[in-house]
This record gives sequence, structure tokens and C-alpha cells, in this order.
Amino acid sequence: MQNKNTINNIVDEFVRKVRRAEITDSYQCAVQTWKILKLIVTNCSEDKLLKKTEMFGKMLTNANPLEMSIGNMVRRLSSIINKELGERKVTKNAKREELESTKEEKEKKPNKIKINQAKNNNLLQISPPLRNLHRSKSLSDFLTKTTQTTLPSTLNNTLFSHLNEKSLKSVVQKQMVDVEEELKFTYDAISEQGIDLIHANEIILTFGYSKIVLELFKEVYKMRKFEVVVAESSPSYSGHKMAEELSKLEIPTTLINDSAIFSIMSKVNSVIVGTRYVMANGGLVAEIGINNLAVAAKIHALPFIVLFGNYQLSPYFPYDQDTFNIMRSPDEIFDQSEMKNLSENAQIINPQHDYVPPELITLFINNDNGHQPSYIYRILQEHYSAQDLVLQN
Amino acid sequence: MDQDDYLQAIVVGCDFTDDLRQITPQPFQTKILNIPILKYTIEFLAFNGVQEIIVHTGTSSSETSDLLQECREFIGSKVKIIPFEGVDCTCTVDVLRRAQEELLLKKDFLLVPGCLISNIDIKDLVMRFKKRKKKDPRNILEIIAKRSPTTNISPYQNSESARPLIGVNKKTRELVYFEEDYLNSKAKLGPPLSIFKDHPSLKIYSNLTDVNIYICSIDIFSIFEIDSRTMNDVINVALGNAEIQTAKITVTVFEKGYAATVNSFPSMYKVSMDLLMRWLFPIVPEMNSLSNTNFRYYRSFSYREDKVELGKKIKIGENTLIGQSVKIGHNSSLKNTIIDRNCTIGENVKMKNCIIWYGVTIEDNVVLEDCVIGDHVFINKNCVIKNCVLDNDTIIREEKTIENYKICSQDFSNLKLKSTEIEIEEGSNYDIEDEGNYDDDDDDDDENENDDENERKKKLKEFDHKSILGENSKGFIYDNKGIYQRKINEKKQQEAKEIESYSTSSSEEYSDSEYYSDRQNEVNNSPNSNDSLESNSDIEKDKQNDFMPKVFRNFENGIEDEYDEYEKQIEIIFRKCLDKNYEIEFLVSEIRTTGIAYRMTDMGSVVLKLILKIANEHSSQTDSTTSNSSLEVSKDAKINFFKKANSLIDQYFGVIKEFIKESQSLALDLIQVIFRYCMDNEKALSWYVHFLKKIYDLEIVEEETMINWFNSLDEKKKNSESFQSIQENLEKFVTFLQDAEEESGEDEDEEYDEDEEYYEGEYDENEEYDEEEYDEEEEYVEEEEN
Repeated sequence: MQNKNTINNIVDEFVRKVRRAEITDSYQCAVQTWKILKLIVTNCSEDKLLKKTEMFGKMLTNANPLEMSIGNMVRRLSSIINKELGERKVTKNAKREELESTKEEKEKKPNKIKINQAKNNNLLQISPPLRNLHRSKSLSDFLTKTTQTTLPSTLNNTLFSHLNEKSLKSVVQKQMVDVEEELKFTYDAISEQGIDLIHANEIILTFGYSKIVLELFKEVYKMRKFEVVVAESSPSYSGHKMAEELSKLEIPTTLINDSAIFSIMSKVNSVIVGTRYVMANGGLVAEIGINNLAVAAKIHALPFIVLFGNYQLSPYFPYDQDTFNIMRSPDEIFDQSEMKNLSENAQIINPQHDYVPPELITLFINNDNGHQPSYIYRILQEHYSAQDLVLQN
Repeated sequence: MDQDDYLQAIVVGCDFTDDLRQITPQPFQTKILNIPILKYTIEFLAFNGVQEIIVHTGTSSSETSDLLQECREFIGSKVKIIPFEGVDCTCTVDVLRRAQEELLLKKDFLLVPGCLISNIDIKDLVMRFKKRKKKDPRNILEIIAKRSPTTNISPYQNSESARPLIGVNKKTRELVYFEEDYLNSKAKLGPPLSIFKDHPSLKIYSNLTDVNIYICSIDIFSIFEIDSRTMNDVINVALGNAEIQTAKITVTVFEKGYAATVNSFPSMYKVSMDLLMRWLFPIVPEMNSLSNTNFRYYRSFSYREDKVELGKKIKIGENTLIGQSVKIGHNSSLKNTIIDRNCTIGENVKMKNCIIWYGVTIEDNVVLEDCVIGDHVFINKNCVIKNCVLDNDTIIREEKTIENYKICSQDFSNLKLKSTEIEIEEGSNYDIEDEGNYDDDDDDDDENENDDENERKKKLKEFDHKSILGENSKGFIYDNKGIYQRKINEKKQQEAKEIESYSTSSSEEYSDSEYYSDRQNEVNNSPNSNDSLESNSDIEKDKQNDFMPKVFRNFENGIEDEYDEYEKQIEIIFRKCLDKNYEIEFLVSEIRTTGIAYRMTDMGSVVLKLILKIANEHSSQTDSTTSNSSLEVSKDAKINFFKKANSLIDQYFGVIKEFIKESQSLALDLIQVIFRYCMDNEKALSWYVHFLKKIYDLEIVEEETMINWFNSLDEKKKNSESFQSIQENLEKFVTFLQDAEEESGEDEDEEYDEDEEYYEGEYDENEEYDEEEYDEEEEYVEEEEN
């Protein structure tokens, strides 16, 4: 019970932090979410595994649905569990066939399952149409209903609680460690690929501060010389920090303001940027102002290269600037003492994100390899199971 | 948990203002974007790492405890919320004292008002404060001030939130000068020049808003004085005793972030709009973090919950928020409007700048502008309601046009006002609407708050509820000012004009319009007050002003809020002493602390004025028993008055002397006071010279001062009728003084004897003269009656 309380508290605290915008970095979000999910998995019993992760997953995701890396990590876990269960189903079916021939080899438990399953066989057959029914009914009920229908709790619990009880949990845990490693070495994996992207004495344009881009430059600069132009990225001005870090590495750096992007583009060889999220259609939800950069690069026919870690991959289809945007406080772009000069009817809008359509992007680099924007859906399929695409209700 | 990290906060729920009380019994229950303000405050505190929140509720109603329970649920188990009733507390300092008595406060704590909405991050600040306090235990208070926020956008806005003038030592961030609300006080003193000398790295801020967030050390109680009421009083006292250096106050100025307090309907509207425009990010409606809502964000700051039913051709403008299960009919339009859950709105309804609470029904073709509408209100079709507040459960059943009213569902002319208790306790600090305070202060001094109350009730009865609201409606007029009453911002005149047209239409209560225009001029006169200290010439002018006696200036300029308040304070003390026969020393020290608190110097003249006033009251009391005619001032009364005044002066001349000391400029004030008083008061007129004589005899004023004053009297005054009547005696007295001055060098005893003689002679003569005058007057009155 104590465990449960502490987990509740930890989740609660994390949710609060996200809501209060104390954690805004998508990498940090992903890492911390994964930590919490690991804790949840280790502290819950086998039969409740799916239910618990689902419940807490929803809580975490609902903290702020627009911090998509949280949802992504929850989906990742859910797909691990679902895949494992799916495999088991397949292997079990195979085993059952085996069992029918050599019954005595196996323990008593699988036998019981066999009987159970035989009893519920017709139920299993009903379930797929049921699932479709639910899906058509409401998109928002998607996850809860589908998971319940594909894996009806009564059925599944009886199915799997008797089968290698510990092994499901331990397999999931093992796979979670893999993902953790992947998260941990995201930067290394990407920066390794940098040598193919940057050639000697090139001028690279980047936008604002991005840890991934910085690591990549650092890695490449060990081997060949190049120059970097940094756009300052107002209103956060994170580009200032980027220029500072780069100059510390003794990389020749030029800081420009965002308005100068187009005019400097003719001198630049390629554009390399980080992003906040990569969307399902191969578009980006990135820092505000990046769309300008992408359009400018397109006009100058320059390669527009986007670096992303797998945790940034979000299974949503954006269609306009507003849908996945966060409107921030006007405080950041407008001095309050000038407020008295402003008419009441004036609006001050400070969006945090920019949507970049896939047509403007030349190349994606993730942990594994380079990809075309049109290929992103494949990576999505690898990472998430189809039924998890809509998480929150 | 580390003991050092433990942080408490006290939320002073009753804000001691009564504007919002009309619509909610507790100001912190007022809904901003459909969520009680208290939740915002608690979220702010929890965000800043407070573990224990003490909420001063003032009463123990079930509503309040429900709200607190709701807060507990949403804030989680990490933060404790403790209700604290503190029933009789009437001011912030009272609440703190009571909390201290009940041992609720353990260590350092945050002090915030219950109607605070903010997203400032003060975590670091609290840590630094604690560290600094370890080094220097005298550092007991940190004021958090903010660059003037958005609260001045609205064209109707006046300087609603107080704008203090603050001098801060740039290096140590120590407060060296503090003047609360310098924009609205008539006494434009400005900081004394000496502080620039003492603090080479001084920074003066005039563009700050006091957001009423304080970080206090538990030692703060050591600097509370008996009569401290607000935190500003406490700060003034601490600064007043700067030489002793018992307390050190630091100031932190926030450039960014949002902080505002909601204490009136205009500020309620303003803050709501600010929140819709996302100034409080990351607390925004679609985050749904404060309550169980499900808002979504749409373009141009429009928010909607689910199950909203919108008719065809609805225009939803910017800054709108629509709660769950709201139905809006065809062709309606809304802009800058907040609608709580379960409201039903008909067709062709036009709403602009409105706040509509839970479960309201509005029928077809209604026009609403600048309104706050309470829970479950019903508005009949074709109504036009502008600049109004409608209380919960008000029902308007006829097609009416209602403008500039606050409407209650209960009849307050018969009932006790919800705010009565508070008003009486609070005195005149806040009731700006009461014109009584701005009448010439010589004749309204004896009018106490009870009379205000009665007057208001009388006024309420005057309203023709039936004709304004319709026969079948349920509702009573509370006052006829509506939401916005004063418009100062000249820049927005165009907009203001529109509203002007209906605010002036109900002009009968604007007897104080002069006052407002006065104020307006003043505000407009202060150049660039936001960006810099007033220009040099202004300071010069102020300095010159400073040399004029305070009381005199008071009369010249009309009325000073602060001065009035100060006088009232002293009056309370004085009367207490009179009743209980306290020692004079005690009285002196009491008055002195009050004087320090208000930074007034002319306490002597105030005391004298008081004495005259009390004597006057005394005589009127006896007068009323003998004669019923109010027009006529009986001779008895006059004599009574003089006797009483005489004895009082005898009794308390020590007090006056204590304050006047040797300063002849202050003594001049005394003469002014007497002159002024006698000129305006028939009873006192004939005794004028006697009073002068009295204070001369008591060696409070020197001859020279008196003669100088007499010579400086201008012709205009001399020509006034009342002056004529005393001129003769006055001249006699002055010649006597002149003689006395010449003699004084030679023999003082002699002078005294002569004095006596003169005194007696004068007295008799005067009496005769009076009798004559009054006989005449009586005759005159009789004639008229006939």
C-alpha cells in the first residue's frame, strides 16, 4: 500500500511540475516519464500490469497533452507490453498445437489455459468485430475500449496470470532498460552520423539552442572545420546561449537575428536544426520561427536537415499552425509598462511552436539513420502499436 | 523534511473592502473564469513551495469550508490548508496578531491577500531572504513589488491599485523611503532631499504596484504598533524609527510575471480579461489545472468547454470563455465575455464586456454591456442593461432599460447590509463612494459611520425600485453607480465619452464631482509619473508648498484623504482619553505614534481643533435640551462652549505644548486653526480673541508670531462680515501684544498683571457686545416667523 501511495505522489508531483511549466524540455520530460513508468512497472503485480500502466499513463499524459514526449513514452511502454502479449498469443497458439500432441511435457497451468481458452474460444472470435464497432463509435474511446476488447481483462488475466507469471514483467522490464539506454545515448547516436552531413569549410545555419545540434557540431568539429551561423530565435533568445556554447568550443560562430535569415541564406551551405516534435506526416512542431527558416531554405534549394530523438516522434497528424501550439504569456514579448499605450482592443499573441510541413524538409536524422519525411510513418509503426495512437480520452 | 525549508503562508481572506461583497459574502469566493479566486492564490503559494497555508476566513460558513475542502483536493497532500476564523479581525495586522496568539505561525511566512492572482516565482527569493536573515536578524520583512502591470489598460480605469513611491538602496535592496499611494494623495511631499545624501546608490521607483505579497520573519511582531492596521502602517512605523535600526525592510522588484489583486468589479473584469489573454501562463483555461473543467483553446483567445450548443450565425469575438452546457440562440454575438456553466442565452442577444455566472437565463434580443451577472439571474426579453451589477437570484420580468445600477436580490434599505460590520469597524478608509467624507470637513466631523449607514439606507429608499426594474421583478437597487464610476484616463476620451453619456445622466449623486475633477487634474498634472520621478520643477513646487502650514494647505486644497484619516485617528485616541481620564503623557505618546505613522507634524493644531470641536458638541448637547430652534444659537450655548473649551485647553495645553515645542511655524498653525474655526462657527466667533489670549497666556505662542500673522492677513479676509465683528477686539489685542513685546524685555511679572486686567476688561466688554448682537438676532428671527 505504501508503494502505491508513493507512486501516486510521484506521479502527482510530476503532473504538477508539468502543469506549472517547471519541466518544459522535451528530453527531460521523456526521461522523467520513463523513470516513473519504470517505477510503476517494478511496483505492480503481473496481472495488474496493463491496467496500472494504462491508468498512470493516462494521468501522465493528461498533465499536458501538448507536452507530447510524455505521451510518446507512455505509448512506447504500452506498445512493448502489447507486442509482448501479442507474441505470447502467437507462441501460445503454436504451443497449444504442440501441446495437443505432447501433453505430458508441459506443466498443469498451460492445460488449464487451454481449457479456458477452449471455453472462451467463441468469445475470442467475437472480439475483433467488437473492436471495430467501438472504433467507429468514438475516436476518443479508442484506447480504453480497444485495449479492453483486444485484451478483455477477464480473458487476458486468466490467460496470462497463469502463464509464466514473472516472465511477462521481467521481459517488459528488460525491454524498458533497452529504451532507457536508447534515451541515454540519443545524442551520441545522432552525433555519430554528423560526419556525413557536414563537409569541410561549410557554413551551417542553425536556429536557437538545441542540445542535439550542439552535440553534433561538437563531434564533427573534432574531425573537420566548418562555420556556424546561429539565428537568435526570439522571443526566447535561446540562440544566444547556442552561440555562447559554440564559441566555447572554438567553433567559428556568427549570431544573427531572425529577420536576417533570408538574406544570409545565400552564403549558407546547409541548414541543420533540432525540433520539438516530429509528427506522423513527417512535419515538425518546432520552435516558433523555424517555418520561416524552412521556407527560406527551400527557396535557396538548401538541404534542411532535422535531428530528432525517437522520443520526439508523435503519432499525430497536424494540419494547421494552431492545433498543437501553446500560446504563451504576452509578458515575454511585450513590456508591461508600455501597456498603457496599447488600446484595449489590441491582442498580443505569443505562440510557442511553429508547424513545418513535410514538403520543406529534406532529411530526418534519428537515433538509427537518416530518413525521408515520407518514411516517418514506418518508424512510427515500429515504435508504437496502432491501438495506442490516441491516448487521452 | 528539512526544518529550514518549511514555509508557511497566511492568506488574509477578508480583504476589508466591500465592493465585491455585494455579490459574494467572501471576496475570495468571487469567480474568475468560473473558478474561485482562492484557488489561484493557493496554486500560487503551492507553486512557490509553501507547505502550510493558513486561510483567514472571517466567518465559518459551510460554503467556505466546502471551498477549502475543494482546494485541499486539488492541491494534493503535500500542502496543508488550515482554516483560521479570526472573526473580529478588521485589518491585516489584526489577523496576524490573532494568528500569532493562536500559535499558528512558526517560522518565516508569506503574507498574501486572499484575492491575489499571480504567477511570480519567488522560490529563490524566499531562500535568499532566509539566508540574509541568518546573517542579519533585523531583516524582518521583504516587500515584493511589481512593475506596473496591465491593470491600467481599460479606459475606465483609474489608478485602482495603489501606486507607492519607493526609495531603495540599490546595493542592499533596503527600503529607505516609502510613500503609499502617492498618485492619489494630495500631499505631494516627495522624498526629503536628505535621503539622497545618506544613500548614494538610491533608486526611486514610482511605477511600481504594490502587489501585497510580503515575506515576513516571525520577528515582525516586534514592530507592530498599537494602531498599525495595514502593512503600510507597519512599514511606515519601521521607517519612522529608522534611527533605532530595529527593523530592516528589503524590496524586490519584479519586471516580469503577472500579479494582480481583485478587489472591485472593474478589477475583476480586468483580471479576467488578462487571464484570457494568457498573462497568467502557464495557468490558462485549457490547461484545466485548477478545476475539473475541460476547456479548449480556439483562435483569438476564445475558450469553450464541451456540450456547448451554439445556434446559427453566432459571432464569437475575442476574449470569450463559454462553460459547459451553455446554450446560445441564433444570431447572438459576444465579445470580451465570460459565461459560466449551464447558462441559457436566447436569440439576437448582444453581449459585450460581461461576466455571467452560473445558471443564468437571458431571453431573446437582450443587450448587455459592462455587466456582472450573478448566479441564477433571469433577464426578460428586449431588456437593455448597461454598466450594472446584478446580484445572485435577481429576476427581471419586464422589458426594461437599466443603466448604472448595482442591483441586489434583497432589500437593503430594510435589511442590515452584508457589509455593515466591516464598514463600521473599518472607518472611512475605503468608502470612497460616501460623499459625506468629501464635504467640507469642518461640519461633517461628528458624523460617524452609523450615520453614513443610515444615510445610505435613506438613499436606497429613495430609489423607485418598481419603476426601474418593473413591477414583477425581484431585485432592489443597491446604488446607482454601476461598475465604472470614475473615468480619468484622458487618452481614452473617445471611449470614455460614450460611457460618460450615461454616467452623467444620473448626476444627482455627483455632488463630489468637483472632487473627482480635482483629482483628475492632479493625476494629469503629474508628468511622466510612470517613468521617472517627478520633474525638478515639481519637486521645487512641492518644497515650497511644504513651508505652508499643513492645516492651512488643507483648507486651500480642499480635502486630503490622508489628512482626514489621520485626524480621525487622533480624534479616536483623544476621545478615549477624555472618557477614561488617561495620563497626559500616555496621550502624548499615542498621538505621536499616530503622527509618525502618517508622517504629520502638526499634531498640536489637530489637538486644538479637536478641543474646539468637542467643546462645540458639548454646548450643542446642552443647547438642544433648552431650545428647539436650530437656527438660533443661544447665548447659553455660547457661554457653555467657551467654558468647556477653556477648561479643556487648561487641561490639555500640556499636550499641545509638547507638540509645538519651540517651533513658531507650528504655532502659526495653531492661530490658523483657531481663526478658521471661529470664522466658520458662530458660537466661537465672539470668543476668538479670547482663544488667542489663552494660547498666548499659556506661553504656547509668542507675541511676534501673532503680530506677524495679524499683519499678514489679506484684505479679502478682513472684509468678510464675520471678521468685521471681531476686528475691533482683535486690533485691541494686537496693540496690547505690541506693547507687551516692547515691555517683555523689561519686566515680565508686570506684563502678566496687566494681562490679567486686560483679560477681565475684555471679557466683560465682549459679553455685552454679544448680548446686544444676539438680541438683535432674536428679534430678526421672530420677525421672520411672524
